[in-house]
Amino acid sequence: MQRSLQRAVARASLADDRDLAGRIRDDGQRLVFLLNGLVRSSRLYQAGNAAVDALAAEAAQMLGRLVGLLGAAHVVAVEDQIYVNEIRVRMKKLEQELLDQLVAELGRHEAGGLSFHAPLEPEDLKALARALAGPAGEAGHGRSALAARLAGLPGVEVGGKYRFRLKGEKPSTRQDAAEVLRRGASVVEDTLARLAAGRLPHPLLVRRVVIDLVDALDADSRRAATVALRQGETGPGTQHLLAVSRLALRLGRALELPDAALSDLGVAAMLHDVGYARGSDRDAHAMAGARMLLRQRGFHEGKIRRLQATIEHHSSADRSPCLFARILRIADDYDVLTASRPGAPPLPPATAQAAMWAARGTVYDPDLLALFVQAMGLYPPGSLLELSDGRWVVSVSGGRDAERFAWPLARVVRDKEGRVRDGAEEMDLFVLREFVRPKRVLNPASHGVDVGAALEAVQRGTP
Amino acid sequence: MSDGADGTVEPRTPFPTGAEAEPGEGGGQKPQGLGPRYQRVATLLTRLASTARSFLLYDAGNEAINRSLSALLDSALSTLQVEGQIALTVQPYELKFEDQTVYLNRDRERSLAFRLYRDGVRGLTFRKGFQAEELTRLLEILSIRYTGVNQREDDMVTLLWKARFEHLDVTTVEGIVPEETDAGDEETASSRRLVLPDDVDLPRPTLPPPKGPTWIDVPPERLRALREEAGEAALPDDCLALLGRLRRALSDSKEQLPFGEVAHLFGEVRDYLLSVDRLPALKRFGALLWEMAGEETPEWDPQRHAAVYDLLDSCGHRRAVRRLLRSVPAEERKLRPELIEVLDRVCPDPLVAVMETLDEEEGLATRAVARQALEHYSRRKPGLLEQRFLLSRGRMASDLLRVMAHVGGEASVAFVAQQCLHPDAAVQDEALWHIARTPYSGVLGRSLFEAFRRADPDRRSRILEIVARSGDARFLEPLTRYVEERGDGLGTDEASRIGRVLGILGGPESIARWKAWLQPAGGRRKGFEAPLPRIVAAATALAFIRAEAAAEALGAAFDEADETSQPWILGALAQRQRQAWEAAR
Repeated sequence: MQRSLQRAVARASLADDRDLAGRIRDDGQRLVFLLNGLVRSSRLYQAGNAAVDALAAEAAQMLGRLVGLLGAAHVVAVEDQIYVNEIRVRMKKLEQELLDQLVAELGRHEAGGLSFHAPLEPEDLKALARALAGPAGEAGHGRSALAARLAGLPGVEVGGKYRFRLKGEKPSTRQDAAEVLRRGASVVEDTLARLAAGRLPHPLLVRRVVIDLVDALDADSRRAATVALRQGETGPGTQHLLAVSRLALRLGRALELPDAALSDLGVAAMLHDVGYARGSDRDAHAMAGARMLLRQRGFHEGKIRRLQATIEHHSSADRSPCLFARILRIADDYDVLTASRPGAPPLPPATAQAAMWAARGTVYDPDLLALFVQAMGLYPPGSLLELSDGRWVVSVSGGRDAERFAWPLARVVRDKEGRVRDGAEEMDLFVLREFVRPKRVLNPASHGVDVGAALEAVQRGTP
Repeated sequence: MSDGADGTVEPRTPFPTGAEAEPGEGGGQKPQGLGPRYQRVATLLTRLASTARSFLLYDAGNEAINRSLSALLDSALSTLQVEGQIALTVQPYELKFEDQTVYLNRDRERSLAFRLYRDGVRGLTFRKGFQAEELTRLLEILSIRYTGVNQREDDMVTLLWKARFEHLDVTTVEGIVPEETDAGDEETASSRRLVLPDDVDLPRPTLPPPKGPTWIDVPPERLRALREEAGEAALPDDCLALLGRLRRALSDSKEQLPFGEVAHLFGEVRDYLLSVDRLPALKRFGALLWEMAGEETPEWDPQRHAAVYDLLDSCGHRRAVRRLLRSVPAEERKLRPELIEVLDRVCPDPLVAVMETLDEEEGLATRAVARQALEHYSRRKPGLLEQRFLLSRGRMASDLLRVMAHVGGEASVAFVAQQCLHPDAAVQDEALWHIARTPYSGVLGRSLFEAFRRADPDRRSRILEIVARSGDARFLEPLTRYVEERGDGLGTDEASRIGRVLGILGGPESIARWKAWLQPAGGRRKGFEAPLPRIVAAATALAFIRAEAAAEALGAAFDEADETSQPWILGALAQRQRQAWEAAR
């Protein structure tokens, strides 16, 4: 008990930075004091007044310090309290009035706070103060009106009033991979937009999707393996990130990575190509992505490994990149080879896998690729096969075990007479192996077959 | 509940005013009027919250935290025993058990309920089987108050998920709880998304002609090795590998990466590596910085040298040294040689830095290791140690004295002996501790006796032990005078202890002196002329003199003793008897 207590305290101490919190409390208090002073002065004095200039200069310096320390400073007003990056600003009794004033000013504009993603010049802060001191917008539009007035200031966001939404919350639907991926798509695209705009990375949002995805994989690996986003719901770029995440997590699970590492891997996978968000090309996007992700402050093992993986995910295994990079390389290449892209027809999954197998040990980590292939089977989900009896089937299971590696579960999409089927009929090729076997792998694109229908039948749970 | 038009809802129960509720610690309010079942749960939650708050304030070996943990565990186990399970609903500032508020705290920074709610936890169910190990894990999570400050990697939901509790079920909402929106927000939200281009990662990789694949069993040791790459033990190497990679990018004229973009990461890695468990990696980190400091400054980053040197300096700052020493495990007492190597490499003045840490730190392990480090460094600058000692008080002064005693060896004996007279009790104790372990010499004598005169009874007792072991007969006269001067003012217990020493030092030649203190009162009454303390001292002295004459003197004294002095004489006789038996064995 003593040892586990020591380890727990050590781990928690690493994550909990009280020194930093103390500094934020002190600097945050000063910043709030200065902001309030600026707003009040804006009402009392003309622009260019020396007192206002001095306040603005000091506020700019304080804000610069906080942003330098944290990457972004968030001033949030809640009821009668103000928080700076979740640390409550404590004022003496006599100074509470100052807090109340700033809360009231923000409240007039229906705003709950201000976020600063970059330092501001004194002139910018004066403009901010004038906007806050100015008339509020129409009821229900106050915040957006204020945001519009502040649009010219770099990196300033106006936050909503921090209320609690007790209605309309969805309980976490962890077992539905398709739902999770849909949510993941919007989180990823939102994250990319923020990163492209120079905002700080916010991996937590992505991590929440990842842990739900892990649970979905665990709850029903077969459905999770066959889930696919419908075309048109989101673009190939986003689909790629989500597919790589799903594949990487499957490989991570096959490796039996602990949950903490698995969630780090998932986050790394979802963000590995962020470098493209600012228009980088294939050669430059790895380091470009790392530079965007580097802005995040605070030590976390997930961040270290994510940065490594982002930089190295196109490196060959023989150059010894980190584990996450080697995993991502496999997942990344598999998806690039098998996904439909403009001007680049996809390879059948089995063919793509075989091509990767040929580079096992050079491009791909031999053990990781072996695990990947075990998880996917000889005929990965989505493989279109012609059976020895003439039927066409789509593989809908991964490699179940060594014995059934080459004998997947499959859904019939064409019968012996050549008639199209809807994929509702399922066969276990292992059970039927004495009667029928896979004869050849077909390219769906060449034969005009939509394997998605069969995969969707699995999602619907038919038969 | 009062519903807002936008779907937001205010909590149902109006919060108690100060008059209604009993304030608890840290903004908490004790819900009133609870029945015994609910009170039990309320007590458990209050304990949980307060233990979580103090979890990181103490050393893991500290008794306070261990007591608190035991009490919390007992409370949890007994409550679960009765209830079977404890299903809590999480609301913004409250935790509810069967719709009764059993925890209430409106301070958003301190409130357990708020922190859970904010992150999306809506229910916690403790089930039977929840034990110490899971409780420790839960406290680890709940104690992290400031992770949100700059990391944005984890929250309560992700940390609780990673912990994979077997006997604690966690109910959460999907995603993060959104803030209130206004009319302009929906439009902004949708325009805020960014889609990657369709040709991401194209062209496809060029691969050899397809072949296989086949099922290959990966040996368990390979799997283990792969998993270890993602483990805690591999993280220091990963940090250094990342920094090494960034270092290459920093020199890349195409990339033009300024050091300012990565400086904070180097600082974070530095802080992570500042641990005695990661000394080899810390050494490599220092070496990396030294190499970088020696590189040419690129024209796109003229501030680089200064920034790298600042970083290098920071590795030897007081804060860094303190962090390093604080990381010594609670049960460890030995200085690791690699620690000295690291300090030598990164710290311009390790002696001062370590001294300052010693001044500030309470932990036994930290102080033990810091003292040993000081011993190492002060050999080069002994004067500095003495200067600092003269300015110090309390525990710091005693620690410094200990170091000086170890470093100075025989030459420091006199100085240490003088510290028996130090105004600070901690220093006196330290000095006595050393003297007790130092071979006796005449140098100690005067200081010892002066200390004896001024010390409190407990310290006097310790000094007497040292004097007894010394065999220095020069103590006889001063001690004798001491007893005579004190008269009745001397306690009998102390008189006995002094008497023992007098006997040991005086030997048979001193019998006559002690007999003189046992001069009968004369006349018909029993008893002695001298005050009781002197009698006690004399009797005890005779008890410890191995001579027949001493025994005879005691026997004669017993015949003359009155009721008050008789027990002491008897005691002395018994002591003689005991010694005789022991000698015979």
